[in-house]
Amino acid sequence: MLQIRHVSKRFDELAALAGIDLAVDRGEIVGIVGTSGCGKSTLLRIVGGLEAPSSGSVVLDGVPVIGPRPEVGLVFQEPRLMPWLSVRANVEFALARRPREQRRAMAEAALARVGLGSFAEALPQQLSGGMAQRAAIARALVARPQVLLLDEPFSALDAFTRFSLQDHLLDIWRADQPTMLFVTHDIEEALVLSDRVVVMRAKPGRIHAQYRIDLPRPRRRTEAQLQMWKERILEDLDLARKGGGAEPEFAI
Amino acid sequence: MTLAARATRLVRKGGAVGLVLPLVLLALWEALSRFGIAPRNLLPPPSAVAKALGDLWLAGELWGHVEITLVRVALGFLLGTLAATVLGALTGYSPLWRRFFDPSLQALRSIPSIAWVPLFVLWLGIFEASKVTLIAVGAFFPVYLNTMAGIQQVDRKLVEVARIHGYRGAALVGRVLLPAMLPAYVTGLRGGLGLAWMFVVAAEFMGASEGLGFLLIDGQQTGRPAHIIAAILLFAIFGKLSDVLLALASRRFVAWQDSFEKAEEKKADAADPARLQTV
Repeated sequence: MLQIRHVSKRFDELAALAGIDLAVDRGEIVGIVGTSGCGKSTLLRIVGGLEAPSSGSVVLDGVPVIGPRPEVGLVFQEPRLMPWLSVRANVEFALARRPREQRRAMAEAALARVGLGSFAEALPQQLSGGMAQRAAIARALVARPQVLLLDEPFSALDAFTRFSLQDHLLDIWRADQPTMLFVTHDIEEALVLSDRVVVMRAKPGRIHAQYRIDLPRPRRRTEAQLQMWKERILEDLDLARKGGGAEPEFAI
Repeated sequence: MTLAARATRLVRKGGAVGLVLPLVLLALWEALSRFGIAPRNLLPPPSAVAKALGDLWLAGELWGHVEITLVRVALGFLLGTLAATVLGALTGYSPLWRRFFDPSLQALRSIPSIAWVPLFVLWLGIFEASKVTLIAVGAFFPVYLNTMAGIQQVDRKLVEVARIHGYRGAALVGRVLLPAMLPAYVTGLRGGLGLAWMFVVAAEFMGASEGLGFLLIDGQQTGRPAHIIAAILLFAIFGKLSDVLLALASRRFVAWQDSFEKAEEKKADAADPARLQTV
């Protein structure tokens, strides 16, 4: 179980996060949405051990998180692959301490799972954006982390690639059931994927509302209930247009 | 495909198109001197230059001149590169060392390096030590600057990925910083080698009795322009050769950066009309 206990973060005078409390069950998928500057990425970086909170703590299975650790995998908005390493070597990069044979086998299995088995020897620049991001997911998953953190993982991709990668992520989740905490700008993405959607608001960054999405997966993006939740979240974020009319597009 | 088309294609593909202009100029030059339009005693024709080279070779002098120059370049380049790599790595990696060293080194860089010559001769004598030192100074700066910049410019995001996966210290340097900075480093090495060739001429101007630079001066003093041109030619050949060798040796490490260029070349190839005819 992942516990975020009263985490605050200040950058000089700016309160990026003010008293965040959040408990995530093992295997739960939690999507965090919010406008720019609400501190959602900072929160994810703190959970990943990349930044220290100004106060409060993050505890994973009773152990405080004070730095990056192998049980936690991270996927960023950009693939961040080492351009000089083959795709397979990039995935193996996450397995430094294991024997060579095992590294190779695990990397190949992880690449096969994201559908990149035949691209193992390619260099990252030969991949499309969606393929590169899948390679990054394979790297984050290859060590079988207990927790997977994703920071706007699909926001740089076109809509079709995004949909297919969302489905892909769910397939992967079904196999290993890692706890997933992901940040997104895309409310629909959060609703389609998550067990729970956390809405954050800025100044200072805090949790404004939480919704449990108790619909079976896979979910259709057009499902009426999802639209209802979407309305409410947009209202939470002061983005719903009063008096009907076209629904405002919620984007970056 | 016609023979002409085949030749055109070969020329374009092999980069042999770059040979056309020099060959035309060479022929023009030969004709100018041969028919007495240009004064032969000032501008000897290519054939005379070739003969001068042949004579030097037959007299058993040529290789000695080439060898000593090569040794000076190699030694100076090696020493300069060594110092530059150590200092560049320090200043690139640590802001504290950068603040400590870099201002002084930048100040030294603004001194035209030839200005050191009298001092080096005074300190190290007229023989090899002063020459090699001057060449080392010449090779130092491109390597130093590129090493420092190469390390500084390593993508912070990639370093973060390495940190997430537990890489620290030597592992971080070996797996991320070093490979990421290698293309910049190779650029620096090639620049340094180029300057080493430039500085060997200056070094051999200051009282050498052997070497390609000596051939230049000797040709001037004894009024033999064919010798001067022959020496220039040898500088060009060995300078280019050493650069090609360096580029080949480093290709393995920077291949990932070149692939973009290769893709561009392929595109250019596809647009080649000669290619379209064959398809």
